[in-house]
Amino acid sequence: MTSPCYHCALPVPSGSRFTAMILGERRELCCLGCQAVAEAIVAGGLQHYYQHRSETSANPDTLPVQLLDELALYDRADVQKPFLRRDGDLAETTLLIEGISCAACGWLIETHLRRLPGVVEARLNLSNHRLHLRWADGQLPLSRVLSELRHIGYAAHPYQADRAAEQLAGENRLTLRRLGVAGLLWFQAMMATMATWPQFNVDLSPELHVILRWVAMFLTTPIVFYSCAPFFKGAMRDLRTRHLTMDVSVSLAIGGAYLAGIWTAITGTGELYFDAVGMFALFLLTGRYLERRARQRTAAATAHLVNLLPASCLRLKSDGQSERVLLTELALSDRVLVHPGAVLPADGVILEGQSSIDESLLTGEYLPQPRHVGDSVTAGTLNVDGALTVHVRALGHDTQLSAIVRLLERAQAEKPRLAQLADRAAQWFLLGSLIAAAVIGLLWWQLDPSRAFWIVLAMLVATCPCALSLATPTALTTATGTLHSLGLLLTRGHVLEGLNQIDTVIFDKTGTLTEGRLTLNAIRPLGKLNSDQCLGLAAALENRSEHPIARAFGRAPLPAADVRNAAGLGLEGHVGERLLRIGQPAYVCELSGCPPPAAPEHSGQWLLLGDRSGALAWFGLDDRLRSDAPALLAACKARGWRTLLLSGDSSPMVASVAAALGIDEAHGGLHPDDKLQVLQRLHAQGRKVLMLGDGVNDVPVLAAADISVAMGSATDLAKTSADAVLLNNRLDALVQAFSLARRTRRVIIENLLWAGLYNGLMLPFAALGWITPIWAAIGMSVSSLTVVLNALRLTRRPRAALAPLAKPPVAGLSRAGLE
Amino acid sequence: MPALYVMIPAALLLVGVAIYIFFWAVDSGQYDDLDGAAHSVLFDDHDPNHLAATDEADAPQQSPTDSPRA
Repeated sequence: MTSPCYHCALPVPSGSRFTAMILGERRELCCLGCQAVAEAIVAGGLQHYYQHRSETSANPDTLPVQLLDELALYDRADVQKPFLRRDGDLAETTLLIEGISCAACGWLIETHLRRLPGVVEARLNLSNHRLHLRWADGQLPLSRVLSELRHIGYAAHPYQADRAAEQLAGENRLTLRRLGVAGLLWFQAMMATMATWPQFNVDLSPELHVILRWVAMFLTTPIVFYSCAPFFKGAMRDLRTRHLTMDVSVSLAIGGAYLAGIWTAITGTGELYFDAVGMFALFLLTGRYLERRARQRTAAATAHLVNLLPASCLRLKSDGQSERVLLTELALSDRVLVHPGAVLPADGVILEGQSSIDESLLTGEYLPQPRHVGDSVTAGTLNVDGALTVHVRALGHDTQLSAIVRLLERAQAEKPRLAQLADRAAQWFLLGSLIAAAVIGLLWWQLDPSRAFWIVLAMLVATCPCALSLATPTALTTATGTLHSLGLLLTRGHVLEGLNQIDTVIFDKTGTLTEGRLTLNAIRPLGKLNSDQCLGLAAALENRSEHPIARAFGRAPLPAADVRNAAGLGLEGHVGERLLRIGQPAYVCELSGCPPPAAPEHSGQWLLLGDRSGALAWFGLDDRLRSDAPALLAACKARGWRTLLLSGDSSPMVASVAAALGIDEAHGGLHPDDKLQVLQRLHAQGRKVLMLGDGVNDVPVLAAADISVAMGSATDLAKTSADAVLLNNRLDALVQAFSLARRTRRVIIENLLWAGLYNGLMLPFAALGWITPIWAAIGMSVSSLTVVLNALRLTRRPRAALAPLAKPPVAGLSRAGLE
Repeated sequence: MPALYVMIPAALLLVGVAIYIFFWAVDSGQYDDLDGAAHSVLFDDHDPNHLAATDEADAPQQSPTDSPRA
């Protein structure tokens, strides 16, 4: 086996000769794209990047295609206007960067850009992948900046914040400000309050006692009204909907302690609880802030990057000339020219040309489908081999692609909410402590009315669910961080808790369980040449082609001359003296005049290679199973989950994949709404479903499943509608996530138990009137600290998964003939 | 105890200043990226190996040698 690509860690195809000198050694690379990027990085003196990085880089071929004349559009003033600010000679903009895998990417991008002439400031925000750029655009056009980024392996898009993103950023800042105010003021309020406690009070004069009480009140007031506002609002909302939540109990404790403090400050009798108010605010807000960050760790970067469609397209003018226009400038009944390798910008009908169209993202069909004049084509699909002229029939919201997006929105609205442990625990806990407080209060009212209020207050303060509300966020935050380092990015908060309730898993096939690209898996020589010789000849021809199939053949040892592409049929060219054709059997056999041989029975795409004397060999191309798919299925079975394979692909490969992996139930040829129906049926049976997918056709199901995971190579739309993203496409990260989810649940339960135990222990003492503010403060800090430390145990990585399973032979996918 | 009559207002003033600075820091985006800064320290631009590589690359100012990617 060859080593993986040094740049992107994908397997290096056999026979590949892409190498580059990196860090003083010659490294193997998988493709031309990686080679170009690696060489650009080394040439820029930035090869240090390879030492610093902690993750492998993105494969440049997975980034959207960037066209030179499309880049030039970004230099037009009217196009730039919405996203560019100008300040004298300097322009300022924000770019969204695709392809960032770790912190070293930030260093690489910033250092590279800062060295360009005219760049004043380049700052990359690693959390949301936005690059802030200030530069003299007279010296350096924007298109140059974008192409420089492309050279080092990143795709950049001009970024405009939408309203939701701005609102989110605003809320984050407000939360942080509340936290800061609570912290800063609490320290001061605590000092003022503690000085008045009998344990610390050495020789406080009565006047100073009064002054300190008023100072403490003055400092606590902003905490209550500014920092704690969300608790009060939440409590009001929950009381109105007749729910007992943590907000209610927190509000009672904070409000009670604050009001009692005012009373004490004015009259000088009673206990001073101002420091408890500040401490509650700080601990609770910290918990909320952590939780917020853990839940929002979205690839917020990709959140609004729904760029399934190209930014621009080639419009045909009436004189037959093509001009590049922005997609927004395109109108109905325009004619557009779509070159091979380009994405169709709109729904339409083919006027001229024939080609095959890769619809895998929309339908899950993994083989390109042939399309001729008069056939309709859909926006977002990829034109594979021939140039097409398309008459535009539907644009924007009317396209089939948008119909899927609408299906997604409907599905999202129907998404069931998984119950969260802490919510359920809080309900019972609260009910208990409120009833206890009322009963004890009544009792003391009978015994000693003057102490009753202070006892009830002490009980409310002692049972304030501080540790309880820290229990979940701290565990989730640490577990999310650990998973992120394993390559699973959780974008929504319920995943870790929800994983423990799952009992059914739905897989997509193309691109999820399989690699989603064609690889050469069989060679059947028919004549005098052996398979190695045939592969050499075929590779020589295919190396001159841009077709996605061509990549499967690897680098050719021989050069080919006069290679011509017959759209939809195949390639023709000379290798040495020999005239060869590869492609459709009929086309290839025209050369020799022999009848085409019968195609092998196996599924997949079969190409024939032939010369003037007859057919030479069959080449079988197929999608290959991911090497870690069997381990994932084994992990699912070990947990007793039901497994389903739902694919849009109608080929027999669906059944063979299901059989190879031992999947319980497999369906092929499904439309997005069929998949959604299957899911709804499962929900109706009361099943909790995990969905793993990548294509646009999976998007509605991803949105509706209890938990959804998208592959890192998935479309942006799929990533944004999923709850988690497998960043490096390694399925074993998911297996580790399953076990980490169990540990997280255990830690959360331990934390809840501890918090409950502490509060339960404090209750009798408070009821007896033994709890003074100092004991309340000590107890609260110790229990909160315990909870946090317990949660930190989750930062330890799960033990390495069992020894990697040997790749099992897969029926119908054997690589016979290649070795 | 008269010192406290000065210290308390001074403490209040300091808190006020601290909150003002904190608000400024939050609003100017200092806390927007909590991951990047932690790592950027580690990438030492003054590393001798890195500087050597940079000088080498700067000497013949050439454009990156890659093929035009359409």
